[in-house]
Amino acid sequence: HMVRLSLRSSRPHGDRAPSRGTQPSGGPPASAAPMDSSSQSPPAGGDPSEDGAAAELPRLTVTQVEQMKVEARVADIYRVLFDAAPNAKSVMLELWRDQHVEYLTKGLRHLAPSFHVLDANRPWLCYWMVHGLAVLDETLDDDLENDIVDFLSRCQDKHGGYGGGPGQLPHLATSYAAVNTLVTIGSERALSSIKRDNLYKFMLLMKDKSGAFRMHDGGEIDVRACYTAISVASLVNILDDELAKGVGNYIASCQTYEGGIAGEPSAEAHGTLFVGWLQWSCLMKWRNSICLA
Amino acid sequence: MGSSSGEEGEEEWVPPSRRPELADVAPLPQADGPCPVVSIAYRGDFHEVMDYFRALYAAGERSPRALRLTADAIHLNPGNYTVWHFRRVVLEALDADLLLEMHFVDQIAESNPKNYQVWHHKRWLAEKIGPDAANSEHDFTRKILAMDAKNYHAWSHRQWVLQSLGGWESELQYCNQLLEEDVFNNSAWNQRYLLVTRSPILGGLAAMRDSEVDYTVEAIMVNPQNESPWRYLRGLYKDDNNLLVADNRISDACLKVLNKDWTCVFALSFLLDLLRMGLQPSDELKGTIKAMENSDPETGHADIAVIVCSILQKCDPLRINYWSWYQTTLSS
Repeated sequence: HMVRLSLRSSRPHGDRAPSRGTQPSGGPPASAAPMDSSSQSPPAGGDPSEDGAAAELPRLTVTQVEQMKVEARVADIYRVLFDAAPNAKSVMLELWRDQHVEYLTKGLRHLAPSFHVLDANRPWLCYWMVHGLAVLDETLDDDLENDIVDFLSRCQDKHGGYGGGPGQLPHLATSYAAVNTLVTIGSERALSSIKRDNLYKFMLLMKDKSGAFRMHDGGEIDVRACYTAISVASLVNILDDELAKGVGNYIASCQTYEGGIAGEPSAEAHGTLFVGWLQWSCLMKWRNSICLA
Repeated sequence: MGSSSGEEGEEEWVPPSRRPELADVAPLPQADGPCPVVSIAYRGDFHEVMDYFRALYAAGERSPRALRLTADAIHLNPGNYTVWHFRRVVLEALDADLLLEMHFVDQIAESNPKNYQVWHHKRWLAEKIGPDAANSEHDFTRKILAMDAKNYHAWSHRQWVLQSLGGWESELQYCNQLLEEDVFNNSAWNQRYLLVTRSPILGGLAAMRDSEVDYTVEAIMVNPQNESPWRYLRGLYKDDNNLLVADNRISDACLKVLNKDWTCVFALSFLLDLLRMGLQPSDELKGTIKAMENSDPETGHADIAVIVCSILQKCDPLRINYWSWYQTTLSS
């Protein structure tokens, strides 16, 4: 018997009741295929289907199957925990601080070959690990700290912004990662390594006439780019009307009929935290018209 | 391993250092400095390709051999946006065959369907190729969506192609097909909304609304726990609450669902919104809600909306704070 959890995926398509996913018929002038046999109500106390067709096993859709798999896996985890003896339970629920600190500290120096897929994201690697250690309340030793600051300076383009590695094109996401790493480190040396004037110029170059930003020279325009730009600009105090103008409107244009925000106008609402933050940030300053109803 | 464009694994891969065409190139090592951090243990081939790439990139060389090298680099790390950018620069300088290039990127995209760079490159190419690319781009996204019907990049690309290059004709049929396969596919519902509001051949929301309401209500009846059609239904009446309240099919749908399952949160919250917008509940609706109230004697003889709100606090405990707050706004 599967544990029924009221989990909700961040995108509103999940379903808990494994009822038949039959589909409505009719619709457009270009006629759709006719509806597959009968509908069947959910197992939990449903009525027999209206047209009285013979009950058949519900055909589950991909969404339902995926949802059930996740719920089953979570249920297994809960079951193991529930069944464990009290002392075993406390060990299982303990955060392995030392192991995490070791993993993160080592990773800041050396990473396995398989990390080559993140070769254009090395400031992110810095950020994830530095931030992780900060959350664990660990300090970096001075050498490591200095070396990280130096490395990020090497990722800093001479005309502004940070790329994914030394010599790479500056990119808003890697700029976000680099700046946040430096801010997390928080030392005078770290903070003063950020060339704010150049960063501002880079961002202005990335600004699109729609008010949004593109990720890099000739790169994609979307809400993520807006978030990373505004967030970093705000953090290093270079956010002005030139950078901010039109961003709120662009984001508002990305709000969908569901009420959430998409990556681009018309795309599906996506549950990233990022966007909520940006929305807040924009609202705070420019009171743009995002519908909260 | 990585082949240059046009030579798909026919021959054994030759590392750059052993290619006669690159004999005059001095590879440029990565400037990681003396005390590197987040140092990746690159394999030999990766290291070498990137050193040669860096050399040609630094020199700004826009040549066929540079193009081939970008292909090698892309195969090793399709996420390297600098390489993709330079590749575009070279393609333009060489006035390269864009259709051949689309074939190249499609192969990368098929094995990396969630990579931002490939989709951006496709968009760049398609824009240059123009409306002639519409059909093949729709075929391609259809292929990707057949493997993962919710791939966000594929949907974005498909939408961009529709809006920039066309191909609207069979899109509603495609949505119908996807929703037949999986009525919970919220991405397909979202696409449907795009069509209904923006398709140049369907007539717009006002024209489509009526049939769409029927379609959506039917989907709800088949599975009231599917949130997508509820959201879609709301969207059909975006910015027009009066019309929403006036459409009896909507409140009827809520009622029908609640009669079968009085705990359906979607029906309850939709009903609450309708009441808030001024819906005058029918006697039948009042009866149903009072019956629910009887299951919960605490609510007493409160206003209908307040009753619905208190039921929601019980049925949707995840959002109990929201529904409590909502209730306070009702009293005013």
